[in-house]
Amino acid sequence: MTLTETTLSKPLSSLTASQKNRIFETEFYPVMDALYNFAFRLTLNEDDANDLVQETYLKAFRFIETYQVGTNAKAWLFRILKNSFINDFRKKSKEPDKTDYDEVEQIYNSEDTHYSATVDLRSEVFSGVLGDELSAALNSLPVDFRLIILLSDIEGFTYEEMSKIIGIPIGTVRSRLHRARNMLKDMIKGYAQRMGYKVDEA
Amino acid sequence: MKDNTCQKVVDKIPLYLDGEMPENEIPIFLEHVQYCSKCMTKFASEQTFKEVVRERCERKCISSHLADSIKNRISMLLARS
Repeated sequence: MTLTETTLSKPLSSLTASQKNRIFETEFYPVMDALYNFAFRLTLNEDDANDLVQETYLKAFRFIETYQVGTNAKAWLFRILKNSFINDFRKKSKEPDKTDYDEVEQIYNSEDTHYSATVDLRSEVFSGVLGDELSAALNSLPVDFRLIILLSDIEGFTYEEMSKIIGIPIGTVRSRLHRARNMLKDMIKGYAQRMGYKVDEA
Repeated sequence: MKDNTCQKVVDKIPLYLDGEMPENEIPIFLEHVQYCSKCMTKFASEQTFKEVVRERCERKCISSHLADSIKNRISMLLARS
C-alpha cells in the first residue's frame, strides 16, 4: 500500500513512527529553509528565528495526526509558525491587545492621505533598488504588513492559502496586501528620492 | 468612460500578477493593457515591483547545525513513540 492508502485506511490516531518519519522527510523538512527565512524576517533576530523554527517542527510532531498527508505541508507549517510568532509577539509587546497594525491601518486607511491609492513609481526606480535597501524597507514594515508581503511576494502563496495561514477572509488578504505594497513602495520611493532618482511618472 | 475603464483595469493588475484573475477575464484585461499606454505603464511598474521584491530580497537559509539538531530531536521523539 502507498503511504496515503495506508494512512486513510487506519484511524487517524495510529500513524506509525515510520509513517511519521516519512512525512517529515518528504514533506516537512524540505520546507525548513523557507520557514527559517520567514521566521528571520518576522523576528529580525537569528536566535529567535532558530527557536521559532524548532518550536514549529516540535508542534508539527505533536499535531501530525491532524495533518492530511500529501496536502499542503508548506501552508500547514507556515500557519503553525505564524501562530507561534503572533503569540510570542503579543506577549512581548507593550500593549498586548494592540499590534503595530492597528496604528498603521489608521494612517493607510484614512481618506485624507494619498496612501489609499496605488503608489505610482517609474519602473526604473524599482529596477535600481538594491537588495540591502529592499531588505531594510521590508524589515521596517509593521509586522502584519511584512507578514503578508512575505507570504505573497516572497513565498508565492495564493490568496486562499494566505487566508488560511493568517486567519482572515480573502477580501481582507487583497486589501491588506494592497496597503502593505503601497507602504513598501513608499519606503523605496523615499530612499530613491534621497539618492536623487526622479520618482514620479512622466 | 475611458477613465472609468482604466481605473477598473488598474485595480485588477495585482489580481492578474498574483495569478488570481479568473481565466475568462484574462484576454479582455490583457487586450486593454496592451493597447492603453497609461495602463501599460502602470502594469509594467507593478510587474517590476513584484519581480524585484521576489528576486532581490536576500533569502536566509537555516544553519546546518540547527537543521541537524531539529532532525535529531524529531528522530528521538519518533523512536520513543
